[in-house]
Amino acid sequence: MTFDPYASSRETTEGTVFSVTGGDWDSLVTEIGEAKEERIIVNMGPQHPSTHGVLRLVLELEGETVTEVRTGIGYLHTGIEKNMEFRNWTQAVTFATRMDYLSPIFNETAYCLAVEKLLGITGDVTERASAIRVLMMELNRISSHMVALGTGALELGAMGPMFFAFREREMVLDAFEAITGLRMNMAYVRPGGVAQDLPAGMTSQLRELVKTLRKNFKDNAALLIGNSIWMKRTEGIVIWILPDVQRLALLDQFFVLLDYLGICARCNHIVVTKIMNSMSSLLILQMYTDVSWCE
Amino acid sequence: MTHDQSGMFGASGTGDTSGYGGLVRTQASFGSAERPYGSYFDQVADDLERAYPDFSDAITRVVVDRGELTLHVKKERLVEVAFILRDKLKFEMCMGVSGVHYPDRTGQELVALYPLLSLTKNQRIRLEVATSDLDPHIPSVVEVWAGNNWHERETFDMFGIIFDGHPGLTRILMPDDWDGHPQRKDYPLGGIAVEYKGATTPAPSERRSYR
Repeated sequence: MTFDPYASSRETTEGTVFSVTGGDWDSLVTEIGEAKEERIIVNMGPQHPSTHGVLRLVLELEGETVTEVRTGIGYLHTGIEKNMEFRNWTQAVTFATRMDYLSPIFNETAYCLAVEKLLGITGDVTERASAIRVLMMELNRISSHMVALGTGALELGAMGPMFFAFREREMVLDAFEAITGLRMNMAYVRPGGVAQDLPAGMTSQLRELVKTLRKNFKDNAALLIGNSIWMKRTEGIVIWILPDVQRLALLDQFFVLLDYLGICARCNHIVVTKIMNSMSSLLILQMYTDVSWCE
Repeated sequence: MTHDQSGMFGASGTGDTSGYGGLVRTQASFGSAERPYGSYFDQVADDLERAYPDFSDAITRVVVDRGELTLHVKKERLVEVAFILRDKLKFEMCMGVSGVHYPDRTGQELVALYPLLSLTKNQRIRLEVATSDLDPHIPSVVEVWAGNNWHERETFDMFGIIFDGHPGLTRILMPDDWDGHPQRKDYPLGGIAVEYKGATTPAPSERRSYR
């Protein structure tokens, strides 16, 4: 057993407090073994909030059962609203795009639609500008879902799907770069329309992209759904029934559909939703790139 | 009832060439909308009146603006109305709670907004509850819509509205020992001046164009 100067125990009014740093589990187990109480409170974290998927948890344990948990979600608020108060409406798009690094276009569009509604100019936005917004949002949906699918599988120990999902994401980001000049935080959608028109030849590029992605999605889906280890790890966990979904306001029409079919939504269903969403994004993209105005 | 607001970002007498300093905007405060409200709004109002006998007492105003329906609810009646809306009118989902700070509205400085969604009927409405800065208490709707737990903590954190009956109303985004509520209108933007190669860039809130 190695000696760790930082690992120690001390007595407080709340009971004995153990500090654990990672290399000293043996001494902890020995010491806890002498304690009379079964109920222990474990502080997990905090980790850095920008690290993928970690947070601070204060867990209350009875033996090996977690009876209560309190979460510290980190100090992530960047005061975007306050900054917007000091800018004009067009400048504020620069902030709206940074609200979520996976779906900047959605946040920009939601913000711009709200501004247009407040100004009463919703009807003045040209059809072309609206179409470009939809086009960009559907591309963005794909790039966002690819991160969810790839990293989700990565966390279950499947390395392959992440490589492929990120390859697809890169292609979409390249399209973003060609259209807006930036791969993320584009501030492309503006109150009244978009920052600039599609560049020449973009439509045919997008058509090619749709073709490539359609082929690749099939392989990707097979890589997840066809993988029995992945399926076993996601089957029968995170079970949602519709009333719970509604009480917690977890919005997805998919839950309603499953409820209608008499099925409780589970973890792997949600993954399938993401794949289906990406597929329907492709359909929408194809429709939009096939019409003549796009040229 | 209207009130005028002139200039932007409070700019005045600064040689502002942007033109924003000369803006005069008239802000209308809405009275109750006249029937028919249009869309599905009449039906929502009728259904609520039928299901809830105290409608006229609890709902102080019905506002229809830009194709959206907002019901202004007395704060002491909020939970009652919420239960009726959830159980009888099928507004099963509350998409959170937003705070608004109107420093000029004496006695009604703090406002909580609840966007509601009915998946069953594909309808959206909004509830609005106002309270005074001196008595910033609004009943919690966590017992009605459990998902509002964290949203109410956020609104408490950012605006200082105290949601009575919340199972654990603590700060969620700011450190526990933080002073003040950062999204109130009188809370400063902050920032520090930055010196680079001898020249100083003032803090954002101190820059001429934003002052």
